[in-house]
Amino acid sequence: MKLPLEQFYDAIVVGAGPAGAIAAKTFAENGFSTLLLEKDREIGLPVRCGELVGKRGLTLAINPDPSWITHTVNGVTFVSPKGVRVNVPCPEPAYMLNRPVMEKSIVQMAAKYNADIRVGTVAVGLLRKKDAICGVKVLHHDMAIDVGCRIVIAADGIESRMAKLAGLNSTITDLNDIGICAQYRVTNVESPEGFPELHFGKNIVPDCYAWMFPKGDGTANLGLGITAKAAGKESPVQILNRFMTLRFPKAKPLALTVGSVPLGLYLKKLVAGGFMVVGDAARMANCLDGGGITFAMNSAKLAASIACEALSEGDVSEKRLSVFEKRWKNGVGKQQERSYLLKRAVLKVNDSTIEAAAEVLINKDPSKLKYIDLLKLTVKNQPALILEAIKLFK
Amino acid sequence: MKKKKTITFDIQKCDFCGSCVAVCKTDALILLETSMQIEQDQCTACGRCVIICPFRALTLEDA
Ligand SMILES: Cc1cc2nc3c(=O)[nH]c(=O)nc-3n(C[C@H](O)[C@H](O)[C@H](O)COP(=O)(O)OP(=O)(O)OC[C@H]3O[C@@H](n4cnc5c(N)ncnc54)[C@H](O)[C@@H]3O)c2cc1C
Ligand code: SF4
Ligand code: SF4
Repeated sequence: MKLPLEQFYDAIVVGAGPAGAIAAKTFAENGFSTLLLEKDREIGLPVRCGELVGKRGLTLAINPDPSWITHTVNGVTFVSPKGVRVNVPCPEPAYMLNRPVMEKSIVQMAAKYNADIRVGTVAVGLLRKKDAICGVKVLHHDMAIDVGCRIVIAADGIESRMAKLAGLNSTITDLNDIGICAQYRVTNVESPEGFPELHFGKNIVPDCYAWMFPKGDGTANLGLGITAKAAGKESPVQILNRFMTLRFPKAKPLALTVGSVPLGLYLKKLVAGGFMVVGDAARMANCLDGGGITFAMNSAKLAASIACEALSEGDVSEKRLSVFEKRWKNGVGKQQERSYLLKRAVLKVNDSTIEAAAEVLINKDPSKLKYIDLLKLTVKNQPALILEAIKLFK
Repeated sequence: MKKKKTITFDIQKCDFCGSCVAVCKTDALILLETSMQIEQDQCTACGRCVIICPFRALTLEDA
């Protein structure tokens, strides 16, 4: 019987989120036979994401097609516990994305270069030869198939089972290092400025923050994140319902999703023989805001480019692939380490400090306000952290 | 004999978000396309997935 898959590929990419899509595109463009596996039945759905992304980070990974972007964002509105609104220009322009359109579009680019794509198809195990990974156990509908390959890229998101199986210990052990989120797509939301809004205060959300990101088409992503400590008491969906009633009483939900973001440090080991892990699966994200799209895309691009060189040289050993680990550590990894430090400080900030900061900022000339002013004020009792904050946002 | 709790899963409540898999230290939870495979032998009844699940689809019950 003809199998629904080839028996062997140069590269298998597990997961077709932003990271997996970019990895598959990179392999296929460079002429390597590629298989992209996606567990969900449709690429890009469901949208477990606020869809706000920095322009610089996105364009570093890929030249975005205008159809991926719903609009450009030039400012952010911070809303204090008592509802004081402070508008701050973005340190750099940002985009609101249409993620399903973007992800399908990047996967189409991979397909144009003959990558094989399977949806509704789950990677359930890894094949091993001596010390190296040499394939994936795939569940294609009801059929279990072993598919061989020279390299596996794990882009399987928050679950990160592949890295676990490869021995890279990707379990999030400290429950403070995961943000549990719930999000509605809503209509009937009004905002005076039309900027993405970040809402703070224990009356709104016990820790972390809540967001309202207008999509520019009459809908918005309205969501929040909490830590495990808070989730033990009340589910994020209940807290989200309260937030919506309080701040956006006219909002009507069109969709509800849940999901989690990594808020700790990225994995110590990012590679094994014939194996690399990227994006959320590698626990790469900005720990301060949970944003992970650009981390996912840029880590996948870097990993796949190094993997292409390694494949051409015929050496996919752990040592050869560890170039990725080093380059990540010395590049974007540093940014994550700083954001981790800041997150720990910000979580300690109490409502009265935020309120006081808002009162000071509201009286300043908005055109001269900087993102950093807000951080400086909220972490003002911890001078060492201000230095870190400057490094992060300069 | 000490009663061991077992993990139970309500597929009606699950959104397949994968958060529980991220925190399970023993790889007892395997999320498939539209179902969850639970390796009861591997589960230590630690309750971490129960806290994390946004829809309370996982619970610990007396065995
Ligand atoms: C509510 C919420 C809001 C967010 N908002 C933002 C935001 O506004 N801006 C931002 O930058 N980031 C945001 N993030 C984070 C962002 O969504 C992630 O960082 C990003 O999606 C990571 O991309 P990825 O490709 O690594 O993983 P994912 O996008 O999670 O993709 C992983 C894919 O792998 C598939 N998969 C998993 N296991 C398997 C398997 N065994 N076999 C086959 N396929 C598998 C999954 O189905 C999934 O499609 C948010 C996250 C959440 C939860
Ligand atoms: S109770 Fe603990 S060991 Fe059992 S499935 Fe949940 S997280 Fe895993
Ligand atoms: S955390 Fe809950 S909703 Fe998410 S996959 Fe696990 S059981 Fe399902």
